[in-house]
Amino acid sequence: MARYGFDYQTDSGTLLRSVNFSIFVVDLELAIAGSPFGGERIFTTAAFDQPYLPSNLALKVGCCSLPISSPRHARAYISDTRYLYMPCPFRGGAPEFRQFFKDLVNNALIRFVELRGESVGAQYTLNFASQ
Amino acid sequence: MVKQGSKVIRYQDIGIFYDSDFGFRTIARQRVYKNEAGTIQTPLTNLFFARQITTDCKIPRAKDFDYRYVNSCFENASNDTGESNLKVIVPYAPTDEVNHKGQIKEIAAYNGVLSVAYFGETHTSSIEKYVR
Repeated sequence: MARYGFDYQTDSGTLLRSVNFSIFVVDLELAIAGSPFGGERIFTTAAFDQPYLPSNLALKVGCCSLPISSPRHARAYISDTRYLYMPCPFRGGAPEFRQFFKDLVNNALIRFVELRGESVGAQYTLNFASQ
Repeated sequence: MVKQGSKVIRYQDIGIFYDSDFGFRTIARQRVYKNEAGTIQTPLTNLFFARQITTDCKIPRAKDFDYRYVNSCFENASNDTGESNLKVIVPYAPTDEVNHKGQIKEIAAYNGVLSVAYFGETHTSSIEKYVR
């Protein structure tokens, strides 16, 4: 699992600086250990990830953990049953957000792309909205 | 006549104008729940009603993506969990920051709401058509 860092902006506009995140592959057919369900994570290397990364993803050394439940991320399918889990640091509606997804869609190595929205727990939702 | 042992759920659908993360505007369908007296329990606030479609038109079925929304938690002794979570669509794009945050604050301040949790827009089908 290749680990990275970036500045992540929540949907409500709070900028979380230098947070850790990881990119990995999920195989929907490969059963999770101890479970009948598919969806096992496959750890990747930075060299593997490189051809898939959108051009506007500004990577830096991460140091802080992300305080929200889960970041918005793309599921970039590289085969019918495998996708790359790729967090998107840009919030919806921003030009950078569009560019991020455009780069993924235009990447010949990627078959199709889905968006999963961020999830912010009850501890932080009002806090971020009040900032 | 309601059969004994069955649960009655009273609801209504309200149409609102919704701005997607990918920049297009569509019509969303908000389901609101009512109590026996017919009062809406879902925390709909001023910024929600500002987007309500008031003209008489057919509200479309759910689209092929999930709208961003807030889960508002209420105390509700009649549920086994002791709470109920009612979902309110946030029709304002994140970059419309004043209204986006404003609606979340309004919901949190709504009578009876104990906490709010936020979930972003999700597309479980290809988003290619939106960025071409």
